Amino acid sequence: MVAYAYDNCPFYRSRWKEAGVRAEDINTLDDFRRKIPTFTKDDLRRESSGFDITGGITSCPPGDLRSYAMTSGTTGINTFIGLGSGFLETFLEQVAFREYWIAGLRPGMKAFMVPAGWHFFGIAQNMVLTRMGVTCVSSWGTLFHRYIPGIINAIKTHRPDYFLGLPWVVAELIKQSAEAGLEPKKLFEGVKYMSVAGEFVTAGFRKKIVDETGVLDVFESGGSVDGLWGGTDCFAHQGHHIWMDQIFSEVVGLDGKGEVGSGERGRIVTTNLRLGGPLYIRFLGEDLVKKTRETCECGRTHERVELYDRLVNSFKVGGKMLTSHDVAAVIEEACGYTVFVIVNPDAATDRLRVRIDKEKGGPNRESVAAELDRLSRRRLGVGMEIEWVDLSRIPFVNRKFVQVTRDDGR
Amino acid sequence: MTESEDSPALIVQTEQWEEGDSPYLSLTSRDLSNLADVMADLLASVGVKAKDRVLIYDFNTSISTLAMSRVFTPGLSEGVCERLECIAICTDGLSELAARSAYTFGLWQPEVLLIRSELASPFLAKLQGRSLQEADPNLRTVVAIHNDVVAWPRQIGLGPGRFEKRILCRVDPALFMCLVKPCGGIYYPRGRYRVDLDPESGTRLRVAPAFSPGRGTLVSNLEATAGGKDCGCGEGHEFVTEAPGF
Repeated sequence: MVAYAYDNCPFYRSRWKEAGVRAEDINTLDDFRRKIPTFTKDDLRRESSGFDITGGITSCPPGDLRSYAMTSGTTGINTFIGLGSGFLETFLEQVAFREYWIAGLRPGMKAFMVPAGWHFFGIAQNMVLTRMGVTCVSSWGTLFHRYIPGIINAIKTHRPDYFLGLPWVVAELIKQSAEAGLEPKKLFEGVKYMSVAGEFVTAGFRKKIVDETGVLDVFESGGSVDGLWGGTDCFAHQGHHIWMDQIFSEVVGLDGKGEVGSGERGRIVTTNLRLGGPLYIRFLGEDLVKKTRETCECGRTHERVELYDRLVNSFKVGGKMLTSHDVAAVIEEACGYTVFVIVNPDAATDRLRVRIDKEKGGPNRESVAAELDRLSRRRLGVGMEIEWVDLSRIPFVNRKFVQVTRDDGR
Repeated sequence: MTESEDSPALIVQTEQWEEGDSPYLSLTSRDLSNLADVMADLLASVGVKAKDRVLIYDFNTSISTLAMSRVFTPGLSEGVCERLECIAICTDGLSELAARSAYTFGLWQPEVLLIRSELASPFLAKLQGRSLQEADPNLRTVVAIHNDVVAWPRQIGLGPGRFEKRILCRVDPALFMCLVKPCGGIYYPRGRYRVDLDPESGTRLRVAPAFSPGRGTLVSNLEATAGGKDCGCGEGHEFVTEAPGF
């Protein structure tokens, strides 16, 4: 990989030359970790141009390029990856089929999914359905609030036995179908499994979905197109299975330096082990993770990565690094799954300011707020000051609810 | 794992599902392949060729987008991109994503832009005061996508430029797609559809997909007259409609 990248990928040749590294200097894993510099999404964006919108990390000859995909762009401007002619086939066989088999998808099923060919994950899903012989049921448009009634109609009319989508969409389907007088269990009657992606799924949220829809299980796909890493969890729900024949992963400190121990939180660094598409070599991601090499309850021996959140959603309070994932776990204990946003956490001293969907407060919002403050102090070492708000005051950007907002003067 | 060409691969809701007579299209792999043939023919007729970059600012669920590539569409093994060897990026069809689409347009400099007609204005607004041609000197062809069930666009507002301009009119329940030239001349792949004027109204196009006979015949909203009219472009047209305002 290193030799190929040096000879064929302008991005790496230029960076490694600058760092005084040649391909022949890398002979051991230790050489790889110590000498190959990491890079970030911003480094890649700076190299993106009309000549090569991928920034110079595509590992296939230009004439072999067949399609592009974009990232979600939730942390800013989208980046692009280039896909060569055989890359998708290899990815399907060595990654995607494994994923969806774990997540209960089978040939002959009918799956609800809105095709999203702009995103790599969407492309992979489209092709899995084609190759697996799964009928796709789709609503019109895209996964956005105003299309929820259409999704309800599609599920009600065509009765899929599998659902692929985003966590907040599932929450909205439950809410809006109930508001329309259709019990969520009736809406999802016949749906055996769900596979969701895009946001972390807490234990409380999974329980809510299973209890209220009647599905057998909800699988979570986690990862990032940036770095092209990821995987699904299995029935044990103890982290995402990352295929070690596809990805070499490291977990480093929050400043991007020094490897952290197994079971400790840090930032993920990924290296792809296949050619023909984007080739990330020591890409320093923006995801906060924890990795384990212990065999999973399901019997699989590949490593597992638990995803906490994006780095941008983490903050230090009282000397402790916390994420919105930690705050979600506390809120769920008192209110069940709900949408919330943490406001200016870096300025917090004794209490975090948190805006929560007011519908979750019930008739005794004051006592719920007091309970949250108490729970938060006990679990996180910092209290919570709750502001009950209308859902419209919780920012929604690029199809995801924003969970941490800064510089909010209101 | 094998796929049958005759069982539904994709069941997709149409755009006006609430009011429409055919709220869903059930599409076999064969239907999808035929749609790809139609779309390839339409785009080739405006000069789209191998290595061309095609930016699509429309929903993936639009039949014109579904036809474009196997990576966009469950059940499609070869789309337009695979047939013509062009390459496409679809940025989705939300007006809220105009900035992202404009950014991609400016960076990638595609030869071809397929854009929902109502998105032309928000898209142009994000080009920082530049025209389409100024933002992308490579641009050769712009196709504005129009859904037959909405009113005919009198003015799309693409602005000035050297690029070829067309409207692609979609009549979803009949899987019909045609191009309308600036002169009003209608182009569709002959042999793929049976097309005539509705005898009752005398002015609306009646269409049926020859490749999917079970769908029957549909009277569209596309107002047209029989050919022979001098449209001024020098080509003979079987049917002519109101010249669109680009």
